[in-house]
Amino acid sequence: MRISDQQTLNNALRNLQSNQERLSRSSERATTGLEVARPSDDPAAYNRAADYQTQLTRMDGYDQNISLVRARLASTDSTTQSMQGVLTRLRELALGALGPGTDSTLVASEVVSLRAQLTQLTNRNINGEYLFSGYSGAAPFNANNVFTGDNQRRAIEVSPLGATTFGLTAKDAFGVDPGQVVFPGIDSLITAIRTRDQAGVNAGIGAIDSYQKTLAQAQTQLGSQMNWLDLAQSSNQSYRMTLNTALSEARDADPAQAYSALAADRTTMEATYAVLSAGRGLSLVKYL
Amino acid sequence: MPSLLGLLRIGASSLEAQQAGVAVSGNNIANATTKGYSRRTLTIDEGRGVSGGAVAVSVDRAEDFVLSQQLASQTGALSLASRTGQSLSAIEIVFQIGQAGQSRLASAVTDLAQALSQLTAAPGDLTRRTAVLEKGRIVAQEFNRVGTQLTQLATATTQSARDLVPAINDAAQQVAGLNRAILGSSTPGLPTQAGSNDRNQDQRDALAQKLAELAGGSLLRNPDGTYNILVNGLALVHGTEAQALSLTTLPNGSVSAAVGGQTVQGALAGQLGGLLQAGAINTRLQGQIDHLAFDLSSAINAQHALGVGLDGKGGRPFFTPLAAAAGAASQMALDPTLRADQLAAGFTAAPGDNGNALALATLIDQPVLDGGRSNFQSFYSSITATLGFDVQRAQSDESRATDQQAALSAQQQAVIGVSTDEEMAQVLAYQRAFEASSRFVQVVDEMLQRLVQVT
Repeated sequence: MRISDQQTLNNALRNLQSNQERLSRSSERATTGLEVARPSDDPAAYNRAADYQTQLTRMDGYDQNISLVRARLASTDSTTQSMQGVLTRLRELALGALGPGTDSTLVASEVVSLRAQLTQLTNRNINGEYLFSGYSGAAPFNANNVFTGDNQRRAIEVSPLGATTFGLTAKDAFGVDPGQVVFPGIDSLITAIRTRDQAGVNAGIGAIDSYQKTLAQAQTQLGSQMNWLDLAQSSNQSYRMTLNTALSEARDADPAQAYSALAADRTTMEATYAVLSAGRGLSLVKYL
Repeated sequence: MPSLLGLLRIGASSLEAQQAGVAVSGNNIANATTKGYSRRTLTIDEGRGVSGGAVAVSVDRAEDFVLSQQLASQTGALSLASRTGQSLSAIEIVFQIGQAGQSRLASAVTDLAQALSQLTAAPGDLTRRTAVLEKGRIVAQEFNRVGTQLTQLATATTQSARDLVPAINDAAQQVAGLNRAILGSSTPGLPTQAGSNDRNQDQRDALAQKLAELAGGSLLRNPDGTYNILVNGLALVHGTEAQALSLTTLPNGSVSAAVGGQTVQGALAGQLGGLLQAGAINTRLQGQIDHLAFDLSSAINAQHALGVGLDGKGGRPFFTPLAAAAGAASQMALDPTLRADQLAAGFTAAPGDNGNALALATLIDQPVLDGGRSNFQSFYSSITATLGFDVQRAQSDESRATDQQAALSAQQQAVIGVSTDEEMAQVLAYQRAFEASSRFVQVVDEMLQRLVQVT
């Protein structure tokens, strides 16, 4: 084959061009660490990466929701425990209220103050949100201990599995529906103590037992909610790791491979320059 | 028998022929890098009779029309692919994976979903409500950005295509003019300048290749030696006549080409074809993004309207309602009258009601777009995947065409290109022959002198 000067030159230019293109691409890979930076690098991988990234971002949201729900559940738990304590104390007082040598008036006034404590606890709020008011934003129990809230529970997203309802309603914890008085048995108990009505006091003790039972059931429910939260958090953690791995596989360049490809492309480029300058010296003109 | 003076003429003819040889080689070397130059070869023939000497009979131009034809077609394919790829790469940057680990548009929508999800945990919280509005505003802005960038790129692509038209028509006119000159000079009886025809052919070949690069014109040679240059069957150049190429923007925004008033059917090759193809892809992409913006804002609005704000009023849109999908991406905006407390997080005015916030947060994952066929992620993926495959196709077309064009160009250069080494060797041969002929003339001269002295 005849080799013309133009041919040699075109060849050299084309090789320079294509090697430079390769070198620029491999430098981009090595410096950004991305194998896939735009759709055309690998359309399927680009979209997989976008999907994983979306899920990872959502996961951050779930984790923030978990810590918020956890704080709320923890204060609900401590509130119900305090209530159990108050109720136990009430039961003890009621048991001995009409015993010999007991000043029933004194007992009655302690029961009244414990009743007030219970009211405070039922109206407990965290960050301005009442624990037992349902969706309503106002204090759930009014001055007459009538339930003015509602018995709705919020479903909250804490994992990719979907939203779960958390918290206790007034119905769960105290067995009241809107418009009903909470712990009415205690009011009757106070009257019974004041009137030294043993049958009434016994009925009051029965009522307290049933309140404690309802509350204990609610506490069990709370415990299982907290368990579910822990489970969601740990499953989120392992899912996050899976997602990160998958994202990296879809999108990231393997550093070792990226650097060695860069080195190889550099070497090719240097060789191209060397061949070019060696070829330039070859001319008959030099020998004439 | 030749006379001594006749012998001098033999020497003189050789000196002349060798000089012509040096001139031709010198000219070849001088034009080694001239675009379109075909190397010339000198044919030296023997003169008539015993003392005819040597005669430089012709200077021939190296050519291979079939190679030129193939090269033109590959050049058209190559510039089509590379121009398409170039324009699409610019479009692709709009969807580049950014700091957030995904494209800005996708991450804006994800952020909105996340803000809504966080609102479900504390629906009465004004900070969280404001965050949702802010993320909604960013979603609209990202759609605006993508819409505007695509429109700008489309305008730039169309302008580049329009800028090519004068160059194409000018080259076609020149080819027709050169065809006329070549036809004229090869007509017997017309006086021509020596070698001017070769030069015209060089220029015409170079222009024909340029037309292939610009408009994907294919070459045909007529029996009279003129060229026709066809664009998808329509003659840009027909022998000595050129027809004007023009572009028309259609109502749907796409651009069509016409030659001599006749619409070009099918896809053009060359840079023009590449720009038109990239323009068509951009138009399709704009339609898809508009469709996505319209469907997403409509779906979110419909769900938002079902809920009520803290004031107990419902039926409010989240984004400003859009009349139609056309231009939706550029027009999308957060409803400017919507306040944080009016955000419909619940189905009741109760501040703890998160029902609608939850519905909105999960809406993004539901198949509520494209007539209930896709969710945001799958709709968006189908758009970016199609674009990705378009760019990939252009890139692989380009690399294939580059290789084929390089091979053809090398073959063509092997025929028509100048090798300075070869020419230098030729010059040496002519030089030696010239020296020998000079010596011969000197010998004849000495013989003549001897004769003069004797008589």
